[in-house]
Parts: sequence; structure tokens; C-alpha cells
Amino acid sequence: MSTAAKTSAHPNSPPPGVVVPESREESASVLVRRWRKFKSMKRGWYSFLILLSLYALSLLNPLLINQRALIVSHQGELRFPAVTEWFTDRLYAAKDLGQRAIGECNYRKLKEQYDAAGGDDWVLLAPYPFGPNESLMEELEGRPPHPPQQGHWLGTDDRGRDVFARLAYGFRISISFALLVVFLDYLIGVAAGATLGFFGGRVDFYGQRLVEIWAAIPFLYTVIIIESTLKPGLFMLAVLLALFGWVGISYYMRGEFYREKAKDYVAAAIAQGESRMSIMFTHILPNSLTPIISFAPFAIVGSITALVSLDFLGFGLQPPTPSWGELVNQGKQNIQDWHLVTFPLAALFATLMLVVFIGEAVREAFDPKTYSRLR
Amino acid sequence: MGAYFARRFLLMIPTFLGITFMVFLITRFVPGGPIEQMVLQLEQGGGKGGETGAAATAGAAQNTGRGSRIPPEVMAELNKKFGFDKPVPVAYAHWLWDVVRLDLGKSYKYDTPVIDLVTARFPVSIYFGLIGFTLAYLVCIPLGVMKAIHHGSAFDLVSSVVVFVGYSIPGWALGTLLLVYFGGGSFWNLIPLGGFRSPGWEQMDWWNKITDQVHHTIAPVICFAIGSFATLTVLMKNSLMENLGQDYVRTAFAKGLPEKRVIFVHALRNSLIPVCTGLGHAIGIIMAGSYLIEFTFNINGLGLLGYNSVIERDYAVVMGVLVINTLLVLVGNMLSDVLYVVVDPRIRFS
Amino acid sequence: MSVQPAQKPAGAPLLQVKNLQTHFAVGGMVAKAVSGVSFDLHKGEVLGIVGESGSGKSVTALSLIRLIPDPPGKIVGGEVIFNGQDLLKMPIEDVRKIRGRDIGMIFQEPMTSLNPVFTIGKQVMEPLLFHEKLSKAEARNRAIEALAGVGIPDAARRLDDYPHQFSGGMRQRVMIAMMMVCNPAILIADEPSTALDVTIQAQVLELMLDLRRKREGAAIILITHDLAVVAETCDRVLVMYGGKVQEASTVVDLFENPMHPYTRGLMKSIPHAQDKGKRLTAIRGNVPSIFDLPDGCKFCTRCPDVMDRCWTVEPELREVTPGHWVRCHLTEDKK
Repeated sequence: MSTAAKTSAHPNSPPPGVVVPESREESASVLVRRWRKFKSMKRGWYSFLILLSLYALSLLNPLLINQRALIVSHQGELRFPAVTEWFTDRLYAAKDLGQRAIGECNYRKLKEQYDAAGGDDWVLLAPYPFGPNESLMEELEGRPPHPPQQGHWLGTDDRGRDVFARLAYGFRISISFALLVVFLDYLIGVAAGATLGFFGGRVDFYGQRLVEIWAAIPFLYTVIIIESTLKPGLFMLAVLLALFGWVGISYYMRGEFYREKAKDYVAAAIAQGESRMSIMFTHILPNSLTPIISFAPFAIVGSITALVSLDFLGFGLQPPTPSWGELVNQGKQNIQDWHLVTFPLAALFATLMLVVFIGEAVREAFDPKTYSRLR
Repeated sequence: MGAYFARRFLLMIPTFLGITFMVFLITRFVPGGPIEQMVLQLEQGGGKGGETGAAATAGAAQNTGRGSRIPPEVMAELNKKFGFDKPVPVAYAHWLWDVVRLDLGKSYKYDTPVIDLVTARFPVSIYFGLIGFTLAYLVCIPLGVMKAIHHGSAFDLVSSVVVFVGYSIPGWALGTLLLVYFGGGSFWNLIPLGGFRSPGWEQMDWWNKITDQVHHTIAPVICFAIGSFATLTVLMKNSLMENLGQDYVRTAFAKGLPEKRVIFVHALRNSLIPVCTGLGHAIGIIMAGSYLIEFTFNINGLGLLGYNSVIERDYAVVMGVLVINTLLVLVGNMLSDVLYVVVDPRIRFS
Repeated sequence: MSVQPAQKPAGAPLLQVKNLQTHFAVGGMVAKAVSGVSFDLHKGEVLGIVGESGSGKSVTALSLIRLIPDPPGKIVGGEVIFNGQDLLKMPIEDVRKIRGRDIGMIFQEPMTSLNPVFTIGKQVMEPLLFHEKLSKAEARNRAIEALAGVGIPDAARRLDDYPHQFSGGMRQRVMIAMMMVCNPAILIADEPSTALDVTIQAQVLELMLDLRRKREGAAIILITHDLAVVAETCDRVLVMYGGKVQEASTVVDLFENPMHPYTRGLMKSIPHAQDKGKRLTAIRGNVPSIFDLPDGCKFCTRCPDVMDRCWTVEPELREVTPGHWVRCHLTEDKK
């Protein structure tokens, strides 16, 4: 019996003064360790930082790139046209600010007017005082699209709108849209895949047939047809794309659920009388979710491309939404105006490149593959 | 094996029914209905993408009855064809019966049977798609293999940059760049602005026919190829690398085989399985790409026909192209299954 | 100092392993999977290498014919002398001529070790075509012979079957046929029977031992975690732990007089008929992570007889009685 007691005894402890290396399998959770790994990959990490700050910056677009002034001081009264328009859609008429014109105030002219007058009135313009939907036809010489020139380094589009402003706002929309689509993709895909994988049997068999049918629908053409009749807004378009984008994720989740379901910890949970739902959400889901996180950046690339492609075809977001694809479409119709194609595609390319770099690093951190070679 | 294919083929039928019914439903449940939309658009003379969407939907119901510029016989034909006066299942059954007899209706714009339009445009799409895809496979497979063998080398790193770049440029985007810089705009004039062939091609002598055709082929084909360049290369590379780490490769080395034989016979044969079976699915990708690339280069293929019919609200053609596209995807998927059986003995015998 | 039997058999050893070191670099850390293993293999003997998983026994075997996946592994030092040449310093092309012809190797996983897309026949014929430059027809006949020799019924017809049409035991037979088809001088078997049913295990081991009848003086290295298999099949045995040989002797000597606490622990964990009703004893604790091996004796964290100096000073491998080598401070005073 003494040997039996020894079996359960703790492993030997070293004599004082001897340092035994501790196991490096730290207590840090899997997620934390993967995050650290991701941070250690410079290219992906810096791409992530750049993209994150650009996106954060673009959320403040109305304060940075706007034809409406940030602050107008008129007759001792302060007004905040950019902010007011941002949150309440309310515009200031020209005459209310002392400008002799009909309709909305032109703040760049207002500033000139105030400066010339030399009174107490002043205007603080946005750093880039042109808006994405503002036609500059009256201010610029020649017919639009205007080539790149001083003050408008990227030129204007075929309605005289500043290309840089449209690109900047288009960036915000593209990223927001892609994040929304990917979120919805995951929501549907995870739910569908988890249901099929968890219940298995008949649910799985018939469910799989339905998914197969759904996956064989020509996605792009169907979206175009629906688009042409429905003319959805940003959210509906995202839902529409997500309806066709979840299939891949569901296949993966289904497989993960089948695999996880067979593992011991699930059997243990069932034996302890946990409910199916609880098992699904507290045990299997967290375990199977981590690997598919590594798909997300590539799903974002797909969603951005899909939006730009649809905009290019004229079946994306409704005009006059600032859009990269729509600019390229203009460029295709006016091939002398190289700036209409080059700049939006450069923006698209740079954005996708950053996301791809992030994606590579995320995959390396979450799903590392060491390929070994024999000789 | 025959039984397997028979079963696969039979499975296509419910899938086809399912897809067409789903699409039929989608087009029926769109607010206002396609016919009303169509009438309204024509009345307002609106082309694509006007800001009239909301108003159109709201006013559609009342607008139906009023006299439109669509000839009444066209209206009657459309209503009969798509059975907007009948319940959905009956309408679908009627429409399906016509489809089975290859009667896809008549284009009101071209005044020709849809099936004729589709068969005339189909070869053009296949021409560009097939050449583009062959080019992609010819480049990507050797490139992927080289990258796998020299994993981590300077060659691998440099070509990875090329792959990343390719992944970040959609084919149509490259197309517009090519048009702007080489299409005779403000820069070089090296490629035509698009089209399948020059006007008057029929009258050219054989040499000019060939050079004209090649001239019109190069840019679209490059765009088709770049669409699958990155994924295909990475798929090939990863597939081979993964196989090189398999136990059977260790066995092959333990037998004393030369490295070339282990890589190019044992591992490559296995790693080509996923690449080969992708060939069938390529048909679907070619079709999806054709909408964008034919639009970019103004090529009169199936994609542009579909696109224009949506713009023109030529509903019979819209549905016709959709049916053909769906059929092609299904045939492609089936082809992939067949290829799987051909290249993987594990499936062949179980 | 190379582990040798008490009475040296006539002639030079078939294979001499000297101070073999194989390291794995994973995630910035280096695992010394094999650190300084030396032994001789003599003609006609069956040498067992025993140890738990992670002890370095498989890596030792793979290192002998340089089948270490690089990255992450690397053979960083030592010599493997075969036919007067050091396999570790030879150009890899020359090692390939020895693999499969002079030294065959059988792996643990019969289900994955055969190429799924080629027929059995093609795979068994390959060594003949490459090493012996036989014609296809000759190779085919030899392959049929070899397959029949390992007890595959209807071998001539089954030559054109694919691996997945065979059961696990049958696949391992194919593997053995493939590796013995050139009648190698040395056969290395890495847990050849572990993945198989108990009844099939014995048959598979028997087939390997047949090699010695086909080629005179052929030797076998059998890697296993199962002391019972060692007792039945081997002549001599190395006990490995923490990438090092801890004890080496003849099988008889080892079972009669196990000296290393680890070996004794292993023996106690084998069920014996006479101990029916008693509790089995397991070695306490777990194998330490290969990245965090102790500085002193590799077994100190689990040893029931651990002393203070075991933590800091690694014992030498010493010949305690003739042909019986032990790496333990407890035995140092005995000689």
C-alpha cells in the first residue's frame, strides 16, 4: 500500500538553491497568447495600427473634410455648421450668416468675405474645406472632371466633386460596410453551421441539401437583379451580401461542431445533465470559434471588393453616396481622365493590402502551420 | 462508379428546381413586382440607378393599370410568360415547363427568342473565360510548386509580394487601369477599348483576323487570369507543402527514393487533387467574372447580355441568363465531383 | 563511450552510433530531443530501445538515416558509422542509396504511411526499381513474392489495389514487405505494432524477425514503449529518458537486475500474473516538457530515490557490471 500512496504523491521538490525551470506553458489564456503572437509580427501589427488609426480618423471625417465650417462667429454668436449638419442634418442658409446668396452658405466664400470685411466675424474652416457631395463646378475653370490641380490634388469627378473628399468618405463607408457584412456573415454562418453540426442526423442531411442549393445560386447576378428593383440602402445591401456570404463559414462551423461534439468534455457535460443549449453555447462554441477568427480579414477583403465591384457596375449604394467603385466607373467612361481610375484603385489597393497583411499575421497567430521538410 | 454518377446527376434535378424556385420567389416578392417596376422605369425614361427608387416603389401599384410605352402585346406576353396573374406555384410550374422545352421566352428589346441570344453570346464568354483560366493554371501551378519547394527562399518571398498584390487587385480593376493607361486615353495606345473583335472583322484576311482577335483578347484574358491568380498559387503551394509533411512522404524517403521523385511523383500527385477538383467550380467563377470583365471591356458575352437586360428591364432575358448561369454552376459542381473521383482513388472505390 | 555487450561478437559492429545529438527549434526554444546517444549494433542482434513518449527514442531512430524534418529539427552532432562511413557527414544523395536498400525503416502509423493514390504494387516495386535497377516485370515478381512472404493472400491480384482497400494490419504487412524487399542489413522499426490489434501485433513482429533468416547477419532496431515486447523479441535493450540512454544491457540482465530507478519504475508498471489483485505502480508525475529538462539527472523530478546532487550533477553512463550500463548516482559507488 505504501507504493500506492507514493503514486499519488506530488512530484519531487528540489533542494533549496536549485532552480528548476518552470514550465513555459503559461497560465495566459489561448487568446492572450495569440494576441501576443500577432503583435510580434511586425508587418501585420503595423498594418493593423495604420488601418485602425485611418478608420478612427475617418470616423471624424465631418470635422476634417467638409465644405461646412467648424465654427462661424457671426455678430458675436458662435455657430458650428459642421457639427450641426452631422448630428441634426440642419443647414445654415447663406443669408443667416450675412452671405448674399440663395440656399446654403458657402463657407469658403464666407471666410473670404469676413476676412475682407475685417470685422469681428470669423470662420474656422475644416482642414480640408471641401465636401464629398459638393459640386465645385462654379469655382473651377473648365468642364468637369477636372484634372489634379493646386488645392484639389486628386482632381474632381464628372460632377465637379472633389475626388479626395469622396475617397476619404468612401474609405469610411467601405470599411464600415465590410465590417457589417462580415459580422452578419459570421452571425448567419455560425448559427447555421452550429445547428447542423450539433443536431446532426436528419437536420444535418436536409439542411446540407438546402445549403448546397443556396450556394449554387449565381451570387453576383442575383444581387444585381435584386438591387435593380429593390434599391436598398447601406444596411439592406449589407444584409443582401451577407445572405450570400455565410455558406463557407457554416461549412467550417459544422465540421468544427462535429469534431468538438465527439470530444470528452462534451460527453462529461452531458453526463452532468447540462442542457443542449448550454452545452452548445458554453462549451462547444468558444472552442470552435477561435479558428474561424483567422478567416475574418479575408472575409473583409471579399466584402470590400464586393461593394466596390457592385458600385462599379452601378448596382451598389445609392447615389450620391461617395464610392470608390462609382469613381472607377466614371473613369471607364472618360478614359482620358486617368485620375478617376488611378486614385480610387490606389486607395482600394492600399486598403486591401493592409487587410491582407493583417490577415496573414492573424492566420499565423491563430492557425500556425509549420511545414516540415525531409530530404 | 456508373451508379455514383447517375446518383449525382439525379441530385442535380432537385438542386436546379430549388434554385430556380428560390430565384423565382425572390423576383416575385420584390416590392412592386418586376413588371410594375419595368413599366414605371420606361414611363419615366429612367435608365439605371436614378434616385427614383423610393418614389417608384410607393407609386408602383397605381401605375400598373395606366397606359405605358411598353406595347400592350409585350405586356400581355410578359404577364403570360411569368404568370403574374396566377398564384406563384402555378406560375412557376408554367415557367418551368417552358424552360424544360428550352423556351426561355422572347426578348422585347431584341425581338428574338432568348435562347438564341444566349447561345450566340455563350461562346464569347467561354472563349475569354477558358483562355484566362488556362493561363491562370499554367502560371499558378508551376509557380505554386516552385514556391513550395523553395519555401522561405528569396524567390518565395518576392513571388509572395506578387501574390499579395494580385490578391489586392480585382480583375476588373486591373482592366480599367489597362484601359486608361494603354487604351489610347492620355497615355499609350496599345490595346483596343474593348469588344470581342473589331467592326468589319468578317472582311479581313486571315492574318488580320488572327492579329485582331489576339489584340482584343490579351487584356481581358489577363484580367480573367488575375482573378484566380493569388488563390490558385497559394492553394497549390500550401497543398504541396502540406503533403510534403505527410507520413507517406517520409516513407518514400525511407525507401531511398531521390528527392525529385518524392516531390514530383509522390507529393505532387496528391497535392494536385484539390487543384484539379477546383476546375469544375471554375465555371461558376468564370461566369461571375464575366459580368464584371465583359462590362469593363464592353465584350458582348453572356455577362454583358445579363447586365444590359437588367438595365433595360428585359425580364425574359434576365431570367434566361439566370437559368443558364445556374445550369452552368451546377454542371461545374458536377464536373468537380467527377474529377474528384477520377483523381482520388480513395473516393473511386468507396 | 559506446554501449557494448559484455562479450564482443566477432567482427566490427554493423552500426556505430557515437554521441548523437538532435535538436528541435520550436517557437524560439530549443528542445534537445536526443542529447548524446551512443551505442553499437552488432550483426544478427535485435536491439530494443524503450522509453515513454518524448524520451527521444523515435528521434534517435529517425536520425540514423537522417529522416529528421528540417525545419524544425536538426542533427547537430555525432556520428553514425555504417560500412566505415559516417552517414551524418555523407552527401544526402549517398544516404538515399543506403535508405531502403541497406537500412529499412518501418513506421508506427500504417494508416498514413502509404501513399493513398498509388497502388500497393507500385509502392513495393519502387525500391527494387531504384536500388536494384530491375525491370518492371522482374520487380513485379519480386513484389508479389515479398507480399506473399508477409502473408498477404492472393498477392498477385492485390498488387493493383490501393492502400485504403487494406486493413491496418495488412497495411503494416505491406510496409514490412516494402522495407524488406531489398533484404536490408538493418531494419529499424519504430513502434511497428503499437497501432494494431494485440493479435496482429505478434504476427507483425514475427514477420520482421523473419528478416534474419532471409539475410544472414541482418540486425533489427526495435523502438517500443512496451517492455513485454522487448522481453519477447530483443537480445539487448537501451532504456531512454530525457533524450539520453539511462540503462543498457542484455534483456535477461535487465529483467533480472534492473538498476536504474526509471527502469524499475517501468517494470513495476507491467502487469504480472502472480501479482493478480495487487495495485499496479505507475511512475509518479509526468514526463517533463522537453524544453524544460532538469540540469542534473533527467529523471530527478520523478525519481523515488532522488538525492540532492541528482538535481545539479548529471550522472555518467557507467558500466556497472560487464555489459550492463547505468546512468545513476546510486550505482556509482558500486563499481
